[in-house]
Amino acid sequence: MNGSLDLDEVARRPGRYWNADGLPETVMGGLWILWGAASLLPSVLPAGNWLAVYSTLVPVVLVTSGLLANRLVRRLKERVTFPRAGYVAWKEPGAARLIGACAAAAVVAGIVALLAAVSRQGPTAALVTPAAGTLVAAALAFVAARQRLPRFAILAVVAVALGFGLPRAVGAWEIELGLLFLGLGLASLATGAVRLRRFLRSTPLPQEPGP
Amino acid sequence: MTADPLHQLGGLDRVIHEPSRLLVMALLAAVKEADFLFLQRESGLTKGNLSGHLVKLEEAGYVEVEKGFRGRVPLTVLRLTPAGRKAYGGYRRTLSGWLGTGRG
Repeated sequence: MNGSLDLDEVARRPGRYWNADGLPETVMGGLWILWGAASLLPSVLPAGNWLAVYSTLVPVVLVTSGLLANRLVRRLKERVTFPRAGYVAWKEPGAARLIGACAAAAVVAGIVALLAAVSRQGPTAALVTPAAGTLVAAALAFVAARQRLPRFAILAVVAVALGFGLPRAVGAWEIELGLLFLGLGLASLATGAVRLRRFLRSTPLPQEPGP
Repeated sequence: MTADPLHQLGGLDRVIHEPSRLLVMALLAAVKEADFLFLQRESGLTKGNLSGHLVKLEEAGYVEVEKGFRGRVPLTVLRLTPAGRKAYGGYRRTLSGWLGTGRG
């Protein structure tokens, strides 16, 4: 037996607790649906003057919504999760971890932007959606393995399936990307809702308060 | 202090070495702070048992207890003190060093 490994396992529990109620997935699902719908709208609606304003506003809205999502999850946890299973304040990520996350996000955004830029009409257009799907799937698979959460592995499979399946069915990467996030959002919303339902059933409010 | 890991083992912190308290310390080391209910659920300890261990950890200066209310509900928030984090880190290093020596 290795005592050190057991302590590592204990140290991972609060991390898993973040996802125990399905709320982060549910909010993430809503966010992805918003992103998908936002990128689909210009392709679906007739072109006009609104497009210039829309193109300026949408990036701001998307970035803001991403930043607010974490706050929303915490608010929901205060109302739903903490009274049932206990309050936790997670450690803020250190500077090295923040820099690493920002660097990873920049690399991912750079790859997708580069592919999108060079493939407006070119032969690499077919690579944009599979690349985006693969990158999202890799991130989800990482979380699934690190926190031992099979639901995230399911979402990773969905990301790969959509990433490689949509180009065959659609053929225009702008629409494919929107559909990819729409599909992922719906899947995430579904797994999150199922998890939340199970959590609420298995974790009733305590009858008596703590000491 | 001797560099021999076997000699260091004798100096293991007895307050942390008790399995239930080690579990509580490990849980608190992984978060900024947590409440009593979370620790009770994650550790599987009874209310009385957990309270007893927390008193010992508080007396050792490893855990800080803050009693308050959230709305009308009593809330006991617990966090490791800097001394507690240092002691837990030292305990882990000593133990893993010894286990590493003992292997093979």
